[in-house]
Amino acid sequence: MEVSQINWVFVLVAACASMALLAIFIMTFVVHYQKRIIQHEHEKQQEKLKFQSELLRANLLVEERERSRISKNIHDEVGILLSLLKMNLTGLNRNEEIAESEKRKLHNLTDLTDKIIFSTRSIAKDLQSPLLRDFGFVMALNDLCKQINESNEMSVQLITQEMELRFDENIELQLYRICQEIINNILKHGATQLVQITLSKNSDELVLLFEYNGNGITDKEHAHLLKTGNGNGLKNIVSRLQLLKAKQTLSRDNFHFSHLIQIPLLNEKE
Amino acid sequence: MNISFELVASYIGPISSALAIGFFLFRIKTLDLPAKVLFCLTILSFLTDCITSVLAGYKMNNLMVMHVYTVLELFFYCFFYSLLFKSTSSKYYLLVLSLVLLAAELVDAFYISKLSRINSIASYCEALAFMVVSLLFFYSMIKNLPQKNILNYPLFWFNSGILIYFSGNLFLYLFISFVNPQDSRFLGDLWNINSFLYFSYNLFLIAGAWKSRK
Repeated sequence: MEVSQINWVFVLVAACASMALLAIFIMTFVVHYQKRIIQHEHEKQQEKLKFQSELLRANLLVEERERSRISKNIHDEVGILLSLLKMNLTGLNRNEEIAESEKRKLHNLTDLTDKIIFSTRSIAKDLQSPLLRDFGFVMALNDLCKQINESNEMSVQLITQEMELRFDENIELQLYRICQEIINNILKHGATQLVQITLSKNSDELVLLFEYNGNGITDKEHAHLLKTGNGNGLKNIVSRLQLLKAKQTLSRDNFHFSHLIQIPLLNEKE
Repeated sequence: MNISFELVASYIGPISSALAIGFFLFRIKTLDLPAKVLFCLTILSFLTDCITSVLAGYKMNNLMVMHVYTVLELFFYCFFYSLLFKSTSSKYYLLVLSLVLLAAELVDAFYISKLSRINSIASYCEALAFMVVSLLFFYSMIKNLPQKNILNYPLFWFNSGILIYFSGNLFLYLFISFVNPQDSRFLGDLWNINSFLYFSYNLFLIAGAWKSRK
């Protein structure tokens, strides 16, 4: 009787211990499983982001190639034809046999052709800046500022010590397009006369600061515009910034607006 | 006090089986094939309990029924796991395992324990085998991550139930092997613990059936 009782206690203790061990095993399994799921989801998310980034890069590349092709065609084909047209019109204008009234008409046509040639060159340049390709982003940006200043619509001042700065061709192109888009937005909505662009570089990042007085948006309004599906230009900027792994900050101080862009300068491997 | 414990222990197995059958029937439309296999096994187990109780009522030896049940049970579990492991090699190993366990049961029934005694050797071979198989299935789950929330995965509950039941049984049958066959009181206590293990196994089946969604 006594022996049986001891056996019983022993079995009970062993059974409880084994059940406790199994319960711990199952709980550990559940915790480990959930951790693996979280890790798996994170990996999937990273892959998705990587894929999206690759897709974006490919899209922008295709867009740039197409711009380049159109620009080349305009310059090489339309440009030459327009020059020939202008030469012929000038030749006709010098002809003594043509009446004075007809000559005036021809003169007007020559002026019109000049304007078309100028516009065509501007479009070709806008589609692909030769300065950007040959002298880099800072020189191209400086040229863009000059062009806007010549138009007398607004004055754009570029302040930088880094005129000789050069980056990878693709990065320069993205930076140039971002600046183009921001300046275009300020031109359209800013209601301002003066824009100051400060470009500086430190050991780990390139900083671009656009400052002006007038109308503008803050980070909150920017997020709202993106959320409501408005602002294709803003989306374009965001996509390009994403590609450069850069961040932007839009802020205001009364009527003074600033648009700060910080681009990390990555190692070549990154 | 002791009488009431034995009373509870003798009824808890069949009652929990009946409950599990009820839950399986309630969810019958959403059950997949592995769950249906366990459903059939639970019905078989319930019938076995009824038959053994009737035989015990007539003071007849009911252990022969247990020998038959053990054979059927091992085939059901092998079929269940062959549905869970997708690879052909796993199915082949499970077939071999079922044949080995069948051989162990036959040797135990006719040469070692005899038909009129508890088939402890065959049972702990079976318990050990299915404990390992259920652990392998846990490994396969952690490797393949079949569901976002494992607690919503019916097979997790079924497998946990099998692991708990067979691990407990392994200890029990090991004890039975070393106990004096004349000590009927101790054997009875062990049998009662088996009933409680079976009760917890059925609770896991109920949880699995409840989580079954198509």
